[in-house]
Amino acid sequence: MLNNLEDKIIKKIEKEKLKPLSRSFFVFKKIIFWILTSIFLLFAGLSLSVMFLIIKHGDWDIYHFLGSSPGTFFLKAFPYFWLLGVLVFLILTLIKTKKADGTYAYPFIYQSIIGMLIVTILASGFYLSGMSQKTEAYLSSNKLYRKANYIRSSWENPEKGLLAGTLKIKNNEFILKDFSEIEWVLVLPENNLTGKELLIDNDKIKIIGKINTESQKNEFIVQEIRSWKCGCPHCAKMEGSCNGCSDENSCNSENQCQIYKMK
Amino acid sequence: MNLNNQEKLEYSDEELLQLSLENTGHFSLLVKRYKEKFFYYLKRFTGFKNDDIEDVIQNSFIKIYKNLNNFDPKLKFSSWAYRIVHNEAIDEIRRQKRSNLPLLPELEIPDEDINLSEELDIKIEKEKVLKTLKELKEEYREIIVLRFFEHKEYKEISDILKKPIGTICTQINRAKKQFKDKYQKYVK
Repeated sequence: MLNNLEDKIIKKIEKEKLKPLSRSFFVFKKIIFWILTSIFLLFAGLSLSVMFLIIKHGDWDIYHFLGSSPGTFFLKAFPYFWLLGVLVFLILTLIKTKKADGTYAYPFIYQSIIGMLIVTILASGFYLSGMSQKTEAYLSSNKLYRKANYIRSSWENPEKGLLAGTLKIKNNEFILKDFSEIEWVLVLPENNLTGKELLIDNDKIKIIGKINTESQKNEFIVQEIRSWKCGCPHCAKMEGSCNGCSDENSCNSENQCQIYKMK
Repeated sequence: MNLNNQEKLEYSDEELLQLSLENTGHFSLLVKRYKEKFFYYLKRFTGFKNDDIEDVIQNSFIKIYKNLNNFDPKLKFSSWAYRIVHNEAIDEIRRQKRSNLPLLPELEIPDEDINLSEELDIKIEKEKVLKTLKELKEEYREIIVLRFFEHKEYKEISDILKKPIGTICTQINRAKKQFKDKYQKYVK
């Protein structure tokens, strides 16, 4: 047994003209591995930042329009989609690094803690830079995403006083095209309209109000306007994030908005 | 390439590995140095038939040769090579499981390893040890074989199985416990 095994192996190597794979091949493999791992971490961080954004600045006050209790609404509207994103990408990262050279020697619990720490740091970066807001706003134009996000889909309920869509301004008339392509003529109060500054042509907005049942046309009486972007009314329309505002109440007008002040 | 006995003794594994990149003759020395160790390791761990073991060893050495440039100098060559052999064995075990071939059909311990009993601090008969070893979970059997048959240090086992040393310690303790529990059955 095993007699001349070395000869058999050498013969096979020579017969099949086998060569050791080049060092650069392994370097390349390692680079690809760490790039993929970094991408997973970035996605986990981004998911966490959007999850935090929704929890902090989501429209948690609209539950009474939907005839729901705060608790039920919270359970329905919790950003599970983003939580799933955090978990999936974090688990993928940990699976990849568990047996990787240079990391396998560390206990899995340490790897998990370090992974979560990196994800939290990345999430803070995304949140502070406004990236989470942009990502959420970008995805919210997608129908499937809106379906997976209860708060977003709640705004497609004009009969319950919640309407969202793209604003068109024509000859001093404000028309909102909702996501079902239905056009609504907006009836604005003469004064005291919260979010009036958000009335910008071609921008997406959310409106609280009610259908004008007395009109033959699709008319919607506006009570409050909110930016389609997730965040406080003023910060949401700017490039920054909401981190400058100490709380929601401190940001009821542009003069009080921390980011606005900085500009 | 002809190498005299003195040369064979002088080279460390790591030096031979470097030299193998230029000359397959040196690689054959590595094969010669490790083939029997791997044979007994696989025999104890997998219980494969001799022909299957030879195939696993051959495939492992081919893999080692192709991956020479991937050797991590922070490791011992033996740890790195055992890792490759171990992974190859696991692949073969899975393949045989899929084909429903019986595993561990003729597990045997060579006479040189009778001192296993001392290492495990128990004096047991060879047959009972074999039967008990067969019954262990795969992850426990691999660790018992590496620690008490191959006499590997914890760090080496950690490098071979790519697990933290703490996990290795825990698994060795659990494996010993499971071994003792199962062994009791044969004592009774």
